[in-house]
This record gives sequence, C-alpha cells and structure tokens, in this order.
Amino acid sequence: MKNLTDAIDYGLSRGCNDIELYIETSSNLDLEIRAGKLDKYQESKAQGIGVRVIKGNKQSLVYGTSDNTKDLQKSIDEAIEILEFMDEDDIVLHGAEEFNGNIDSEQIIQTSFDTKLDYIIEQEKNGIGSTAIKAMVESTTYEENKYSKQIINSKGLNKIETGAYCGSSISLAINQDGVNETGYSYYYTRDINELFGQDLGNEANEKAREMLGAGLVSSKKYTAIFSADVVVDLLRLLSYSFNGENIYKGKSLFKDKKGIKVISDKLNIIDDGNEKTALGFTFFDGDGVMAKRTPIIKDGVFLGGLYNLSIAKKAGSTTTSNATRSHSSLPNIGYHNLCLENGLVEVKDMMLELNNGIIIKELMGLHMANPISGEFSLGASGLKIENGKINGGFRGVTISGNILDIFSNIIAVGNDFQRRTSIGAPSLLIQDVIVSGS
Amino acid sequence: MIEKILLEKTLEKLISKGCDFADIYLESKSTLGVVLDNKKIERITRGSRYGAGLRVIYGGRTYFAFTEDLSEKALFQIAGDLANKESGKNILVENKHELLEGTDAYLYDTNMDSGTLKEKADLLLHLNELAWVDKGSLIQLTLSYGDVDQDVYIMNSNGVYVHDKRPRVKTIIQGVFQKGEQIQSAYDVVGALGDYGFIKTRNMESILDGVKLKGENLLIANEAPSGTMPVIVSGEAGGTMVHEACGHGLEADIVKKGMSVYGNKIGEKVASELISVVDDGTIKGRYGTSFYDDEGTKTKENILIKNGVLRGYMSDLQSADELGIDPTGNGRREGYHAMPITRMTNTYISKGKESKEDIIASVDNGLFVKHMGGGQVNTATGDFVFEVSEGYLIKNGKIEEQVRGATLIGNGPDVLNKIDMVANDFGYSLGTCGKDGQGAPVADGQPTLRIPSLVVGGTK
Repeated sequence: MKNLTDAIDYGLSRGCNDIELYIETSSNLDLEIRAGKLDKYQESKAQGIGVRVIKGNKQSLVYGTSDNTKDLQKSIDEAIEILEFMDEDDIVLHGAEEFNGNIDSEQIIQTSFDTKLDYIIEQEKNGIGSTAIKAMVESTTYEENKYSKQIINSKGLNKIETGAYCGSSISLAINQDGVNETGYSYYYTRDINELFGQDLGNEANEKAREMLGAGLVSSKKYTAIFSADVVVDLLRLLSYSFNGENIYKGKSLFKDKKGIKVISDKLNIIDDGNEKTALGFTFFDGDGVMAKRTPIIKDGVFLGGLYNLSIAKKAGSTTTSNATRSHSSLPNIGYHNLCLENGLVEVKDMMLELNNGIIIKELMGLHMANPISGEFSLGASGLKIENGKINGGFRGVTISGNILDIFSNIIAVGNDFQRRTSIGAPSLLIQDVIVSGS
Repeated sequence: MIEKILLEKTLEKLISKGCDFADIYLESKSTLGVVLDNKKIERITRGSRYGAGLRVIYGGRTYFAFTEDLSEKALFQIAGDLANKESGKNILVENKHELLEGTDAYLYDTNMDSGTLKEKADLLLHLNELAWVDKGSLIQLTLSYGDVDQDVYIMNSNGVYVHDKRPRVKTIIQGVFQKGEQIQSAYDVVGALGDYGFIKTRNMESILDGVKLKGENLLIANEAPSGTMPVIVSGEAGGTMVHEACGHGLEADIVKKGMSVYGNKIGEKVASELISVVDDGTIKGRYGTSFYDDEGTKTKENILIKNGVLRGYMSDLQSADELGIDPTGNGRREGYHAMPITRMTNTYISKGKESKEDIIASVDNGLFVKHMGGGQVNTATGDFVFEVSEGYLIKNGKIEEQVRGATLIGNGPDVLNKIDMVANDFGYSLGTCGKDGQGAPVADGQPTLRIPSLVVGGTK
C-alpha cells in the first residue's frame, strides 16, 4: 500500500494534477478433460498495474506488471513524457471515497478439486450420450477465477473489491452418414452450486442431435422464433449503440433518440448493476463510482445511454457508473449485467402461433455485423417448424436485415429468460425475417 | 531476462518426475497504442509485460502454469508444483542447450526504424487534417497506430533453446459516413512484421482516400440480393475465404479431436484440382511471419493441398506427436499466459492460369467480391461465412452497380471442390485470428477465383 501512495506522491511532486492507479490481481484454475480423464490443467497468478497521469487537461496511461516503487516511478515518468503529444480533453476523476468489499463467492474456492472434476466428467458423459450414435466430445472445461481490483487516486479515492467466478463449457459433434452436426453449451456464474445445477452435457448433445439430417431452407421472409441464446447475441450487437461515447461521437443508432420509441413497445432493456448474484455484478465501476441499475429502454422508448464520468461531462450527461476498465486501459464504457426483460409467452405456445416457420438457434459471424449502421447478414442454423411441431434442422443459410427492424418486428416475448454470462434475454417471436438459402 | 543456467535448472526441476516433455516460454513484450478519435489524439498507451509459461506433459496430459515473478524462488516453486502433478519414466539424458538466434531476415526491412512517438502522433494528425478537407459525408474518423516489440526465449526438454524477436506494426483507418438517416462505416488496415519504417513506406494518404471513397459508395449502394448465384472473389479481396473454408480445418489440434471435416483425408481429393493451399510462416514482412514458432520449431512453407489433394496438416508439437506427423512450425501462443495451440501463419491459395478479365466475362448474373471482411467457420460441419465489405453485381460479364450488406455462406469442402476458374493475380489481407480465446496475427491471400454457385445473404 505504501508503494502505491508513494507513487502517487512522486507523480504529484513531478507537477501532475492527479495520479490514479488501477491494480488487478487474479488467480486462475483451468481444467479440460477428454475421455473421462484430465487432459489439460492450468494454474496461474497474474498482476497488472495501470498508471493514469493527469496534467492540465491531458491524460495518459502506462501499464506494467510490477508494483514496486521504482517501476511505478518509471511508469509515471513515461506517462509524463507521453502527455506532450496528447490533445486536451475533459477528464473527471472520482474522489474522496473509501470502500473495501468482497463479493461472496467463497464456495468456489472451498469446493474440492475432485468435485469440480467430477462435474465436468459427468457433463462429458452426458454429452457423449446413451443412444446408438455417440457424440465425439471436443472438449469439456471448468474454469475459475479469483480476483481483486483496486482503484486509488490523489483525490482520496481508495476502493478494493475481491471476488470470484467459475464456469464450464462443452463442445461436441455427432456424425451420421459422414456428416457432422455440432452442439455447444456453457455457463458462467459466481455461484458454483448454480453451475453444478446446469445440464450442459445433455444440452449440447440435444443441440447436435436435433440437427441430424439438416439441410437448407428456401429463401424468403419468415416468421421466426429467435432462441434466448440468439437474442443475447443480437442484444450484444445492439449494446454498441447504448454506449454513451458512441452516442456522443455519432456512432450510435440512438443518437438524438432520447425519449423516442426506437424498438417494439413489448421490450424493456436494463443494465442491472444491483443484482448481487449476477456474474456481471461489481460494487464499483472503472471510475470508482458505485454501480447501479440503469433502465435503457422502457416499452420500446430509449431512455438514455450508458456513461462514465469523463464522457458524461463531454456529453452534458451524468455517469450511469458504466466505466469499464482494465489495468491496460483508460476507463471505457460497457454494461455490467445487461438484461432484456422476461415476457409471459411459453416457447411451445410461440411454436403453435407460428405454425409454419423456423427457430433460429445459432448465429455465425456475429463479429462481422456492423453495429454502426445496424445492418447484419449472418450465418444461421436451427429447426424447422411445420404445423406447430419441430420437423428437422437447417443450416448453411443466412439471415439478414437491420438490428432495429428485428427488435421492432416482435410478435411475442418468451418467458424463458436465460443468462449464461453477463447478458441475458428470453426467446422472441419475430416477423419478416429475411432468410437466404436454396 | 533470465540467465541460461537458471532456465536449465528450472527445466531440470520441471522434468524431475520423468515427464514426456517440458518447456519454458519466456516473453517480454512492450506495446504502444496511439488513438486519434473525434479529431483529437485521445489515447496514448504504453505498456510492458514479461513472464514465463511452464509446461509439462505426461502421456498426453498437459500441466501448465505461468508467472510474472521471474526470480529463482518463484520459478523453482512453480516447476516443482507442476512436476509433482504426476510421475513418469522419462529421464533427461542431457540438459545442455545451445542457443539458436532467430535472424531478422524475415522482417519487412532489416534496417530498423522504430520512429519517435512524435512522428507517429504527427502522422495521425496529418491524416486527420487531410480527411476533413474534402470531408464529403464523413462524420467521424478513428485512426489507430499500434506497435509491439515481442522478445521470446524458448527452452525445452528435447534440447531446443531459441531466441526470437518479433516487432509488429499496424495502422487502422476507420471512417463513419452519414447521409440523412443512412449511416455506413468503412475501414482499412496495413501492418507487417516490422516497425514504424514499414508504415513510412505505405502511402497512407491514398489508403485514407480509399476508405473515404468506400464509405461514400456504401451510402449510395443498393442492398445486396439474396439467393444462390455465381460468385467471383477478387484477388485483391484478401484471404478470409481460404482461412475459413479450409485453414482452420487443417489445424492438427482440431483434426486429432475428430472435429474437422478434413480429418483422416490425407492423400484424398478434397478440392478442385485447380486448388493448392499453402501456409508459410517465412514470407518476408508478412503479418503472420516469425523465424521460430512459439515452441521453438523453425517456421517453413507447408503445402497443405496440392492440385486438390490433401497433403498435410499444420501442427504444434503435441498434436504432431499424437497424429504421428512432423511439426510444421505452427505452434503459436498469444503470450506467456497461454498454452501453444496449432495456428495458421500466412495462408494462401496459389495462383492459377486464367486472367481475371476472362473470369469476370464468364459470369452472366452474379456477385463480384472486391473486398472481404471477417469470417467464421464451424470446423466440424465445414460451414463457413465471410463478409463482403465491398461487392458489385455482375451482369452479362461486366461489373455493374455496387451492393452492400452481403455475407456469403458455404461449406468448405463443397466450395473448394466447386471452384472452376483460378486467375494468375494475387492479393493479401491481414488480421488477428481468434481461437480458444487467443488472438494471433495472421495474413491470408488468394488469386481471383470463380465459385459457380454460392449462397449470398443480402438484405433484400
């Protein structure tokens, strides 16, 4: 601790207005099994320290791995040299608050190694399946991360958070008549017992199995059920436009749209930074401001974007405590725990209403979509619905359109809210989905 | 970073319980990033990281740990812990290592010119100023300059001990364009195994003009059609297609798990006889090049598919061992914190004989892909997608109006078999390839080629 305050004092003595240090430590355990046995075992401890230097409306960042006084002073010297080349900017630091909190996740550390291994062995077994055609499991993994983050600055801010999370994944393929179909499932949480309750192996097996014999579907506009996982993918794409910096810089679909209906009035989107059991929960954001719950879209109306301190000042807004940061970056903006609120409709009722159509279960190439224009064209696979019932799978086709149209053409919102990481959503029934296939 | 004698002693501890293989990967990396956004130099970030990754393998089971504490005490502690995970029968006969130095022969320019921060900042400021002179529909410009200096030592229980230095440099230009309600974005990137001197050889002004033109054209382009049609992928389009359609499926770590459509097919015809595919980590200055891979194996030219017949896979040490093939110099890792896996380097489809003009003239009604963006593949099914960042309709053998918003989807072996014309031109693109959560710098290339039918996913 003294090394940190000494470094801050050193920076001030060199004429800086402010110094802020961001220190992260983590210890990881990663396991991968194959054929019921340990295949890969990884243990690691890492540390990173970012030094943020502010002098006369200019700021810069230098990061490294060492926290000894000499190295920190060297980083400050380098950061001061960089300042010369920076342009002036609005820079806001949070000040004079102290906090030290632990997000309760002790159970992860206390659970025995064998219990963790047994869980993924069970998932792999379920993944392989018990029917005549067995799946080939590519990998089954368990991972846990115990971390701390500390932010300390010359304005008197000093906050520390410790916590942990864990997760598992499985990916597999089933071969029938020389053709592979694949299935994948994963789950990350702060509660290891919640993880142990996940049936990932069976889910992945089921996903691959229901795709056996899949072909193309014909090119036309469909009414389609987007599974919760696919809605999550599209919500992640939409979240680019929630970012206050993108709004400020004109790179958002919601620029000048505050108070205006932008998507279906059936949808509500919230960044819920208060949900303590969620993976994305954090006590304070990358600026050191305590996290909170921020409604973004209510009944289809855009309420406002997500901000950190500095962008909020530039944009004439207030922070929503959405500064995201690592030791190697200055504060950016991101969501903590983004949720598209659950609806009331059973997925099986959606299938009956749909009668003939498709369920889109997986997208491919999401990183290719253009979040600025909102236009996308992505690989898609899923199931065909005939007379309200599943009738085989399809893949090798694309779905395309504009993300705003997709979230506007909502017929029904499912009641199957699902969150595998820090973003969650239910299934949606959507009309006028452009599919390109045979 | 660490004395050889300490590395040898650490290795000795790692293998003390008779493992089949062990290695130490020592890395120091310094980075510089300069970002100009919203007409300002918004961010300059410098960083440095160093650490060691230690690995032991017992009968196919891998134990790995890394540390940023390079003291004897920390290294011995980790090596001892890893060694104690299992015990085996192998005994290291000789723990003597002669250092092999990677040369700078593959750098873009061996006359290093690392440039000053002022030069780099001035370059971005100059481009920014230029961009807004005739701004057209430009509403936002982001310019990013980045360079990395990576320095690695690798020592393993097979007697390998190498040192390799890999400076890499990249500059990205991204513009956002608006006309009425319509917003489009366009970007371009240049990069190399080299330093700032490489950027100085590029005509950045004309690359900026290219991005602006692309953005303006996208604003007036019509939406791309949907459906199945002939597609010509231009030689200047980059190599995303080869990377996705067969590159990943030819990585031995995927093959050994039974997750590749190209598994167990060595010697078989997997593509049209017009198609030869090569991965070559030695091409001077290319973004995916290095002298050694991250396991100390010398990089080389690997012929993967020759005239349509599958000749070999790319491999790292462990997957090569399991498949009983030779290591190809494709064992790569993001850094000391990650285990090596099989990765592509610079991957390309070899030139053919036709002229590009003849190929264009041969299509009555189809799509011409002038530039590709990103892509993705499911190696087990072979399904892949790639983005058309600049595409045109072809009508009666002529390139006509520009279209926007198309993604192409196909199945790797199916598409490679269908290609029926290959031109004598050639082009490269570069990118960062993601796999198992690790990013790796790669380059991909191809000549102009014709796919007689492919699913085009337009927005219309």
